[in-house]
Formats: sequence, structure tokens, C-alpha cells
Amino acid sequence: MNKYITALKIFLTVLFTVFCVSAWTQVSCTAKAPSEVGVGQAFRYQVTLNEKPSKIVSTSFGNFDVLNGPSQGSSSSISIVNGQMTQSSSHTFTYTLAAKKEGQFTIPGMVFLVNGNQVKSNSLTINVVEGGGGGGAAAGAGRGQSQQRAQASQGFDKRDVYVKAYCSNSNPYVGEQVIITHKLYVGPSVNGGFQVTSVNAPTQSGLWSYTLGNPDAEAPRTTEVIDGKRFTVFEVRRTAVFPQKSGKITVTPFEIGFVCRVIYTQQSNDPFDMFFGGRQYAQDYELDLKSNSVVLNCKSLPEANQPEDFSGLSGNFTMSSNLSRNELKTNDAANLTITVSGTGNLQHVEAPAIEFPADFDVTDPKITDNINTRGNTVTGSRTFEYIIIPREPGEFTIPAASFSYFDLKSHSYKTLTSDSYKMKVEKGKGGGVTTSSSNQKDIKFLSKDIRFIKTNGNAFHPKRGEFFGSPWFYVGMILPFLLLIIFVIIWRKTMETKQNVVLLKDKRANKVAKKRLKRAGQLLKAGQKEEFYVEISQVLWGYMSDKFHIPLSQLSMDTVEEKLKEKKVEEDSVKEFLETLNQCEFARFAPGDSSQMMNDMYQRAHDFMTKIERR
Amino acid sequence: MKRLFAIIILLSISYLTFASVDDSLMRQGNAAYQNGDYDLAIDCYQEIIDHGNEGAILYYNLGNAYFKAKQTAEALLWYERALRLDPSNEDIKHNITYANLQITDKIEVLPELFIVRWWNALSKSMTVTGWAVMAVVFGALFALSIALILVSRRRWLSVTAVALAFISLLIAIFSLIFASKEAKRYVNQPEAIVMQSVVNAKGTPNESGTSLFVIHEGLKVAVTDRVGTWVEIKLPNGEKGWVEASSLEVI
Repeated sequence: MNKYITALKIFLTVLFTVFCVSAWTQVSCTAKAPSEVGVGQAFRYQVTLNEKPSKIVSTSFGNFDVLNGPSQGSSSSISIVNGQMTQSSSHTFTYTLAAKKEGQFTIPGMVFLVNGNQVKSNSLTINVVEGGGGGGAAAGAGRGQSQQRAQASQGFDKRDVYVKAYCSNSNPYVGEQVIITHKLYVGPSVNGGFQVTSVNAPTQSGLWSYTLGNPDAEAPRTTEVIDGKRFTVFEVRRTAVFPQKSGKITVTPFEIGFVCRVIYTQQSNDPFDMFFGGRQYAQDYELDLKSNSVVLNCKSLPEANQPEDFSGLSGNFTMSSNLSRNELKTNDAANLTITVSGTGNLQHVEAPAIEFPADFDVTDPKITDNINTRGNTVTGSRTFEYIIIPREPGEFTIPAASFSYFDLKSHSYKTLTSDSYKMKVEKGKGGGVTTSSSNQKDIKFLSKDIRFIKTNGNAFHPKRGEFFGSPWFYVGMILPFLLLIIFVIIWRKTMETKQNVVLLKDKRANKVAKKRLKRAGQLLKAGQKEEFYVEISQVLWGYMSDKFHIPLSQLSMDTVEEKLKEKKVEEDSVKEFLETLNQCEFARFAPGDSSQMMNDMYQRAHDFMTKIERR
Repeated sequence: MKRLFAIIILLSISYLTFASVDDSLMRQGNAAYQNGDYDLAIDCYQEIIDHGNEGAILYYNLGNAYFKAKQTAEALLWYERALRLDPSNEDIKHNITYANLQITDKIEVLPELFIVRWWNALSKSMTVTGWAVMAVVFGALFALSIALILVSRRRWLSVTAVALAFISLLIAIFSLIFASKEAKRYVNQPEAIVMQSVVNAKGTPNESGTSLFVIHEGLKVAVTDRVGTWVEIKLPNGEKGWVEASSLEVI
């Protein structure tokens, strides 16, 4: 039955073609625009004609700002079917407009001059709402067309395009990795291709997120059949999120800009068109898609058995460490690397607290991240590199570093410990010089305050004049020397008197000798040789007798020595006495110059007596 | 003679009464310092000084009180005065060093030849009085040993006496040199502390002189000359300039 109707339609179309050529050349002029836009939102207003107009007669966009336009476009197609040529062309004028204020406004049709006739497009009513126009805009466009394209073979169904978010675990622990996948579903009504123009992932509080996958790679495509419809499914984005707090966290929906093209087949009454499946034309739809929001119900970590140095991280980690060398010299450097690797929020791993020996200079660790987000989860490693410079020789131990986390497989806390290292440091060249000076400085700067007041001791005394230069000073300076001078004077005087006693003795001795030798002197002058020597001899004997209280009768040449020794007369004196006596006897009988010898003898006797006297 | 006696008695009575008052003031000042009431401590110490007393510990405590009361220039002035009375005291030196970190000016001290430095350090290690006493004592010792040389009959005694005489003469002479050097330093080239917060040093001793440099309170300078109300100062780095005498306080 249908077949007959179709055949009839074709027949009629062929039949009427001849008569209706004029009708075909009738100028069509259509305007289109979204029926609902937001204030300030840019939208397109497009007028399509099938003839080239010679000019634009009037436009009126009263309540809208013209941001851009008109931009012209034209296309033409010529088809020859069975020698029959059909020519169709379309000319478009496109404006980009923006609404000034809220409300319902009508854009009156544009008037063109085509082949000398004025042609007016349809007027459009646009509902301007506050803010963004939303997804309804594109749908409105479809509706706007429906009056003219009542015969569109297939309507574009807005429900055919949507974004859905899935989460791998809606009940995670704090810090546990959750994968959120946003999928774009495109239904069968989109038959002309589509494009995702923008993906807007809003910032999210309470979550730490990484975008997974290779951004350059094409989105993986699958097909699903839902409610009997075949949907193409694209993975728009896969995100790994780490909840930072416990409780309900709503993942803010994604906003995706989407453009698709729907190809319509017009059921025209043109038999040729009917024959070739009707006229086809494309319609573009812009959609702002919004995903559903995912709610994560985060569990807080158990408080029981929580280690003191718990890092706050959940996941699955391992730890390794390496010391570049353990035998070195002072002021040489060694590297200690500690690597934490595994699955979890590695960027939150903090440098482990290692208590290095006090004499070590240790730099802040250099942190190297190697985090892989291309796979299905966030994995990788974080490396801490310490440069250690020992300043003093000796044997040291670098203690082990530890790292605690919540293990998601066993649902318990785990503590990883690195190795501890023994380090042997020998004294190197110029060792310790730099440190010793810097240490000294430190000590200097340690004194951060003045010293305390003194509360003991003799704090003060009445002010005195300066001692130096005062009379007392000069007295003190001069007095000792004055005393010295006085002492010296007294000393001298005493010495002098002592000397006088000697002189007196000398004098007396001289006197005694002279007195005794008085007669001998007279005899010497007289030149009486015989008498002189006798006199000298007698004087000497007499002197000895008087001096040592020995009776003269007891004294003889034989006994004198003995007697004088008895009286404790020195041997020298005795000897001299005897010699003088012998000389005297000898000279008495000696020939030659007598006066000279007598003089000598006189002197000798005098000297002898003086000497004895002076004792 | 009677009059002299009366004066002596009067003086000793007044000294005794003052002494007890001052002792209690000292205790009061120390207690105030320990309680953190530095202004009261300053008043107490200052009153003791007004009574005509001096003393290294007194000056040192006063300097500490001023320092704690954030009057660094005054503190340095009293520390320096304390150091004059007790030149070898480590605590005073330490506090001077520390207080000098708090003042604005930091001037590099001109380097001196090490012998000069040692000489000056030795000279500064005792007060003028100390050196004078030393000169007197060793002068007397010298005289004594000379007398000993004259009297001695024994050889070892005279040799010892000669050595003693030589050494004591040397010490006495050096003590005299140091005493006069230190006295000269105080009298001829006194040192002073800048008490005004900012002082412009001029090239000539009047207001219209060119400004040579700016110094701040707490700096120790040497006073080298005096014209009217102006004094010529010398900085530790050797710079010289004229400032108003009122902006300084001589140590």
C-alpha cells in the first residue's frame, strides 16, 4: 500500500515538475537563532536565502548588541538528473549577537532585496534569561525549525547526548585513591558527527585530584545498547581523586561543551528528491552538557594503633634507601637517597625526619617525583636526596628513616623503615678548619644578654682624689730615696770613725818607734857606726820585752823564739824580728858604704816596730 | 691643731652616717633591678653617686640598669666609667661589647701594630692609681736594695741586691710611664660617649661648618680639642670632626 502511495507521489512529482518550475524559483528566507539565551551570552543569528540578494534593506536588533557580522557565506549545488538540471544555492548571513537585558524579545525579520523584490525573513522570539542560556538553547533551535521542517525524517533527541560520571569506590577511606570516570554518551539521533569543544573540570575542595591518561591520545570508544538504542560511549576524562577529609564530599559535575551535526532528510514533494531519498541538509546543535554529581562518603581512618609519625597517607607503599659510600674523608660529600614508591598520593609524602650526627652538614633534601598518571591509577615514586658532609672524623651511624601509612589492602597501619648506615670518616686535608671557625662564631653569638649585676663585694667608696700626682704620691716616691741618702751619710760617718782608729794606732806606733829610735837617729847623723848598731839592737830587744811583757833577762837569741811563741806572737813577726837582729849584727862588721846600710837598718827597725804596733 | 681634729671627727661621722644610708640604697637598687624595676634601680644608684661615692661595681650595676631600661648610651657611659676603675674586669668588658652591638654606628677600629697594641693593652690593664702605687712600691724597693748593696759584706748578698735593684728600678720606671700615660689619656685626650640620638659632625667649630659625617648615640669617641662650646672628636677609625660639647658626655 505504501509502495503505491510512494509510486503515486513520484508520478505526481514528475507530472507537476513541468508546471511548477515557477514555484521552485520562489525565494525562501529563513532566520534562525536559539529561543533562549542568557544575558550577555553570545549566540548566532543566521538568515539563509536560496537566492543571492543584491543588498540588505534593513536589520533591526533593538535589544541585542551586534558583536560580529554580518558574515556572508554561500553554497551552490548543481545536479543533472536525466538531462534535467537542478540548481540550488544557499546564502547565509550570520550575526553574533548578545542580549542586553532579561525579557522576551522579538527580532523582526531581515529584509533583503532579491531580483528587485523585497524578501523578509521570519521574525524570531527570543527569551532572554539571567545568566547562561543553558542546554535548552540548542534544543530551541531545533524547535524553531520544526515549523518549516515538519517533514524532517528524524528529530534530534536531546536525551541522546549526555555525560555520566562513575566512581570506582563511593565509600573510600580518607586519602584513598578513587577513580572518577566521565563518559559521554551519544545516541543514534546524532548522525552527522560531533565534537567536544571544551571540558571544564571545576576546582574541588576537599579533594586532591590528578587527571589520568594520555591527554594526546584519542578517547577510547565503545558502544552500548541502552533501552534498545545504540549509544557510542566515549571516555571524556578519568580522574584520580584523594579525599582529604572524612564525611560527604560531592564531586562538582563536569561541564562539557558539545557540538553535533544532525543530518535531516526532507520529505519534499519533489519526485526526484523522493527518488533519491529526499533532500538532505545538516543542522548543527551546540549543547552545554553537565554530568551528574558523584557523592563520596569518606570514612575516617581508624584511630586505634595509629603510629605517632603517621603521614596521613593511604595506599600501598614501599620504601628503599641507598647511601652512595660509607667510607669517606672529612669535608667529602656522600649522598643518601630515600625512595618511597607505590600507589597513593605520593606528592603528599614528606621528607622523613632523620637525626643526622651533630657534626654533619646536611642539605635540605632534593625531591624528585616520578609520578605516573597515564595508567588507570596514580602510581610512581618520590625520591629524597640528602647530601651529607661530615666535618669531623670518627665512626657515625645514620639512623633509619621511617614512614607510616594506612595500608588499604589490610586496612591497617604499616610502618616502613629504611636501613641505618654506619659511616667511617677519616680525617681529610684541611679538615675541621671551616667548622671550627664557624663554631667560634656561634659561641660568640650565643651571648644574648648582658651579664647580671654584682651584689657582693665592696661596691663603692667615697670619691678620692687621684693618687698619681698628689702630694702623697710624691712623698711616697721621694721618701725612700731621702731615707737612702740619710742612711748613706750615717754609714759614711761610721765608716770614717772606724778608719780613724786605725790612723791613731798608726800614729801611736810611729810615735813609739820614733821615740825608741831617737838616740839611734842621733848616732846615725853622727856617723858613729859601732854605737848605732848597738843602740838598734838594744832598742829592738827592749821593744819586744816591753811589748810582750817578757823580762829582758829572759830574752836571748836562743830563747826568744820560744818565748814569743808562748805569747802567741805570729811566726812572721818572730821571723822578721830575728832577721832584723841578724842583719844588725851582720852590718855591724860589714865593710863598705856604712851610712847607706845604717839608714836601711834604721828604716827597717822603724817599720818592724810600726807593724807590730798597728796590729 | 684642735680645729683639724674637729674637722676630722666631723668628716668621719658624716662618712659613717652616709655609708649606712648608701649601703641600704645599694641593696634597694639591687633588689629593684632583680624585680625588673630598672628606673627605681637607676634612681637608687644615682643617689649613691650623688653622695660623692664611686666604685666599679656601683657603676657597672648602674650601667646594667640603664641598659635594661633601653638607654644604651647611658649604659655605655657608666660601663666605661666602671672600666676606668677596674680595667681588667671581664664582666664589664663583656657588657660593653654586647651593648655596642645595640648601637647604630659600627665603626671599624684602625688596626695597630701588634707591639703598640700590646703596649696599650698593658698600659690599660691597671688604673692610674694602680700604676702609681706600683711605682712607689718599687721605687722604695730600689732604694732598699741600693742600701743593701752598700752594707753587704758577702758576695751572694750583694749580687742578689744588684739584681733586685735593677729589676725594681725597671718596674718602677715603667709603672711611672704607664701611670703618666693613662693619666694623660684621661686628662689630655678624654673619651666621651655620644648622648644625642643623631649628631652631625662639622668641619669647623660652628653651626655653618660643612657636615662631615653623622654619628649616633652610644658611640665612644675621643675628645682631641676644645673651642668654646665645641669639641673636636676623633672616631675609632681616625675620622675627626667638630660637635657641640653638650651632645657628648665625657667618661
